[in-house]
Amino acid sequence: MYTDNTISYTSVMRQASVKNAPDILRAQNLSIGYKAKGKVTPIGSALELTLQPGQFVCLLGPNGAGKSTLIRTLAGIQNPLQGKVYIGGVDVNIIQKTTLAQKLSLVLAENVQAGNLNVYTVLTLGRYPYADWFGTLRNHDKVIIKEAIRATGIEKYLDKQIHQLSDGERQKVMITRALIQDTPLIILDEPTAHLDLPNRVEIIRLLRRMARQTKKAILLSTHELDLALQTADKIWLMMPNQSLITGTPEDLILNGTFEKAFHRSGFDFCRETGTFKVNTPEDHKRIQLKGDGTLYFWTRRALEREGFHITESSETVLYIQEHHHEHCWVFESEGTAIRFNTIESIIEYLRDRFLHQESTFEKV
Amino acid sequence: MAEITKSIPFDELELPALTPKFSWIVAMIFSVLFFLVLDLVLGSVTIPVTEVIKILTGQGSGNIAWLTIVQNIRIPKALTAILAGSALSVSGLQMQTLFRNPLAGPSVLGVTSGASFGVAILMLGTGHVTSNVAIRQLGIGGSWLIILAAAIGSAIVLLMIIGLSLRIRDNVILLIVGLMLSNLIIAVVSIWQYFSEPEQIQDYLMWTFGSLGGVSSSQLNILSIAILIGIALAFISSKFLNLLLLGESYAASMGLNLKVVKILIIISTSLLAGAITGFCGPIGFIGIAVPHLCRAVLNTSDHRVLVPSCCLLGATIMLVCDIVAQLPGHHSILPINAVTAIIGSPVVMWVILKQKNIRSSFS
Repeated sequence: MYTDNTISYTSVMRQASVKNAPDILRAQNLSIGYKAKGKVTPIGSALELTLQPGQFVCLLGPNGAGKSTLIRTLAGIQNPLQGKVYIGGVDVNIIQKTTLAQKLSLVLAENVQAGNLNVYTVLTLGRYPYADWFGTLRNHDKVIIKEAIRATGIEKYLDKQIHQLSDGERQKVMITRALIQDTPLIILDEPTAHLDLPNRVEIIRLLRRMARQTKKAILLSTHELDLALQTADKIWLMMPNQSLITGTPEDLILNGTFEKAFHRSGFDFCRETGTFKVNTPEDHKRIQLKGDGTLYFWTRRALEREGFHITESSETVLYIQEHHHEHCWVFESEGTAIRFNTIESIIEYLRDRFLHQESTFEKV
Repeated sequence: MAEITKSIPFDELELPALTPKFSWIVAMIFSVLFFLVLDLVLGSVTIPVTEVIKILTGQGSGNIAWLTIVQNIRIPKALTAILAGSALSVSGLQMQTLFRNPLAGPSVLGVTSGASFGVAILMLGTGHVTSNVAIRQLGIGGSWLIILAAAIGSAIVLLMIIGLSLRIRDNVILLIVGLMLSNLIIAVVSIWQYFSEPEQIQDYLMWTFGSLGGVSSSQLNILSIAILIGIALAFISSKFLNLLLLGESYAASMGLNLKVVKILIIISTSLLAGAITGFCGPIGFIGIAVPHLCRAVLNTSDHRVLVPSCCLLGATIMLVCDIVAQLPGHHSILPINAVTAIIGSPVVMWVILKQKNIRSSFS
């Protein structure tokens, strides 16, 4: 595999034009946390972070790890305990509010509830940082508004009142408003918190598409581990020891960072599947599963839910047989073979069988 | 990408118009004019419309009594009604948005009682009572003093409320605290009343009933300047108020300087509510009811529209209240505070029942 010519890749090897693209956001030696009544409660310290144009970054971490505090500090809402945050090269705590609003837009988890406020009015508010005192829309503003509406596909409810929308639609409107604010950086604090799964997927996909298409840097904090792992260019992972580890999702999974971050007793992150292990296998339930593809995946899921340990070493074997569009399962143990047509029937059978086994074990 | 191709082509995408229904605005202007004339016509003595219009257009009138009544009594009173209606409505509108609470208004959050407290302290200091008579005795300089005292009184209460709102995020709790604060101030004023002379108490009670008739022509000039400044400030802040509808965090993220804007709104609100309370007594319900009516009628939350339309509708309703208070054809006058409550509370009830989304108006 290795030859004498093999060299180690470093980012120095990137093309100069790409390499020298300025960071949209940079945090140096950043400590975050709260100061109350002279008592300092640090949440994260010595953080070094950067965001480049076109990057879609997900901020993950267990509850209480300080995701919101980090978001608030990066957005300049809260002062850092130490260190600096630069947006577009300027210190966030010195920058003028209106200038900051042209560089950074925010989408929050909180629901906007305002009666008699129609969607289009909310969208036009996005042009506030650029508008004159009375907020007249110029043609240029209207073009940007139209582009954003087209990008997020919210044409249908432009005339609706904001309180008539579903949570998902409302969050899309707020994201469109952020796009209309036309900033190189968009930060979203748990934008999918109140949404159902299809809406969560849609919002995350929309955001990633925006990052690709518009070269905006998009940072969002989320609890959607699964979606984040699938879509993010980079993960920022808040660790229990107040540090923050960044990297490509796959790297973080492979080097065990995820396991460390989410480690709790009886609650483990599975490196193989990138999900949390919900089921714990029981010792006496061992089975070998033979098959492949989708059928294998879902059969395995069902067996694991029942507490089975899938292992090559077991004499008990479940075969998946597939012919054209038909499939069945064959269970083989101690010379007998039984055929099943549904997973439900397998589970039914296995439950009875292993219940019996359990009692025999007890006798021994 | 499929989503994009499915959507309406770029050029065909029509952006909705932001301009309000002009017919409504025109109707509001006409209703102000209509009730203004009606207010001048009706009263203990009914003066013919033609004569009123003649007097208004400067042609005078054959009947000296009518001329005097209209010029010296009814015109100042009607103008005061217009000013009071506009000022209280606009201050209520600003407070509802600032506190994100549909029940906020000058009389609810203690701003009015703050104003009366300011006036009471002024009167106590100068040895007078808070009565219209006493106010009149103070002259032009005194008029400014009253506006200042009332405005400072209400500003102090508003600042306390704002200070509390930083700690109390829950609007309902804030509202209750505001009500209690209001009661506290009223109690302090009552204690002072208790130790006052009987005639002073009567004067004070008369003042609490509210009256539009106590403002003289010279005081009217000062009152109009104060109100115009207040409304101008509100109009200037209308864009900021729009941003505040999305909540303070969003507003700040869009570049709004919350501190400056809050101060601007507090100055405007306390000037408007304070000045009117100082001169006309505490007038309830207008400040809560009119903004809701405007939102319901115009179906908008855009303050660039709401501020002027609140002025128009507030003026109209106040003129109507004044007409009712005069009990046309009778020689007695109802206290204006009672009339605004009688007309105002059904309006508030109607709005709340009709507009089911009132709870969601402000989170």
